Amino acid sequence: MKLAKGAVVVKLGKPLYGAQALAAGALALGARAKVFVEENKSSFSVRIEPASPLSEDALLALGGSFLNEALNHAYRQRVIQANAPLTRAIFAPLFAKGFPAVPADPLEELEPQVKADRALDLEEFLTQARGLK
Amino acid sequence: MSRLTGYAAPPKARPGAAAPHQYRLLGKKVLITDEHGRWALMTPAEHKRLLSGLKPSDPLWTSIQARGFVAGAFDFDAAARRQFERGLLSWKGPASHALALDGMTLETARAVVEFVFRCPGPQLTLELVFVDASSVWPVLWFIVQYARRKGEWSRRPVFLIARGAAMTPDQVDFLRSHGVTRAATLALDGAPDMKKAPPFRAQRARAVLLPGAVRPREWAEWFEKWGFESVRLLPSELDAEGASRFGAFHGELLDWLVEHAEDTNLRDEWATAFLAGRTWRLPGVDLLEQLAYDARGRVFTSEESAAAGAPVLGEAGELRYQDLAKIEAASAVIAASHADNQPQCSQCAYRSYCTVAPSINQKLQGHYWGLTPDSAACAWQMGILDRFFGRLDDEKWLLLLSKWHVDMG
Repeated sequence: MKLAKGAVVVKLGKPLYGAQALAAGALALGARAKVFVEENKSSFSVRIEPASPLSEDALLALGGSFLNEALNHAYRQRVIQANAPLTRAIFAPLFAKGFPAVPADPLEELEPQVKADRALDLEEFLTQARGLK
Repeated sequence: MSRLTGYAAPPKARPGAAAPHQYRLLGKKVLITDEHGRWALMTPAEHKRLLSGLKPSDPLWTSIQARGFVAGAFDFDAAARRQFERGLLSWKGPASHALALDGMTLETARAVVEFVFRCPGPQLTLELVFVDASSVWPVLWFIVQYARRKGEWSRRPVFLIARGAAMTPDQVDFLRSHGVTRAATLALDGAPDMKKAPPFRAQRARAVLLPGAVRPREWAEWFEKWGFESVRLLPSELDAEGASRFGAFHGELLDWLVEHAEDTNLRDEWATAFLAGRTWRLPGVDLLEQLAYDARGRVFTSEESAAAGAPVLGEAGELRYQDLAKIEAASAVIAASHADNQPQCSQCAYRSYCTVAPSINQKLQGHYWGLTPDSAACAWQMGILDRFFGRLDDEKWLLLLSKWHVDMG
């Protein structure tokens, strides 16, 4: 990590770090900085320009936040890949079937009077509630 | 291995001796857990014996083998059953619904209650949150009546909790007669005045620990004296200092509870929440445990996200429960709360008991995933679990847990 004219520059090697890791790092900085990326065959050069001038320590901390998040993202992807056989078995059925809602009450479907009585109950509660202070 | 607690010189493990487990050093003890929530507390020497291969003649064999930590005697069927029961495979939908009543209209209340009852699950909890019951009384009254009736119609148990800072004795009577649990929102500061009653007769305390709060044992006595059945302590600030202050206070409060195990009626709500071993039942875990609704009827993944104002999943009057799975934010919070997707959590001894709610990560660190090594929420929750698990060799603590219907068998 190097300081360069009010900005901080970090070099990150491929293939450990990818574009997504850099995006995660940039996201963690949010509006605090602008992030510019240059790419060559073996690495990324990332220039982080703070939104407002910062001291050297604060600049290094900003670069550190970026690096922490980029590393966390890269490592998390490895963990996710390693655990994928297990998590797929858990998440696939959960999302495949969606979140089924409670089906309509068969009693209300079969007996229109039940539905009408319940609507009356509701109206009565609302009327009583409107009269409360 | 859990972070920060590895052995200086790890014992040699013989492949095929011990079943897969995580460990964590708790003072002079070693806690081992597996991903199905089984646990054992032992000495480092005993752990070393387990890792090198326990013999059936070993005094540890019976208990450790029964808990599934001996590879050669691993019960795969039991493990699969536990995995199903404790994992997301048996998740039925969010069980807890927090409704912010201040400023809510009756029409919005009706839409929210109807949305809640479209959620599946064998039972539903509606937590009605307000500052002063008098300022929301018509809405509170209506929700209690309507939710009770909807519970009868749908033949599902409905738990109602009214949580606020003030209510009148008449309101307390109404809520009591309709089976509504009253939870008092309190801010603990300094030492308690034993003669000063809480703002109303409540069964539960939601107590925020201010920096000046001292004498936890006296606070425990105060809760007991005024008839509280349970207390949920919360740090006022979730940072390193707040987590540490909370730890000291909570530890002493637990000491008091253990010392009075036989006669106290007070319960630590964190114990029942964490030790139930279903991370999707931890209070406030986005969408899996909780959905929250603001006064406008907007649906959020949790109270924390409602406080932040995002992400909005939809409006209670328009959103269909079955469409939640299609919302990217909903998928994201579910994925982010799963230990196997988190580098530190996936190797943590508490992985089957704990998760930091993604909306808390969002609040503290700017994104749902969180950065565990820096997370005050992780430190706070790990501290709570250390205090619970570190006592599991204490008969009085086990007695207390069984009184609270927590089965650590």
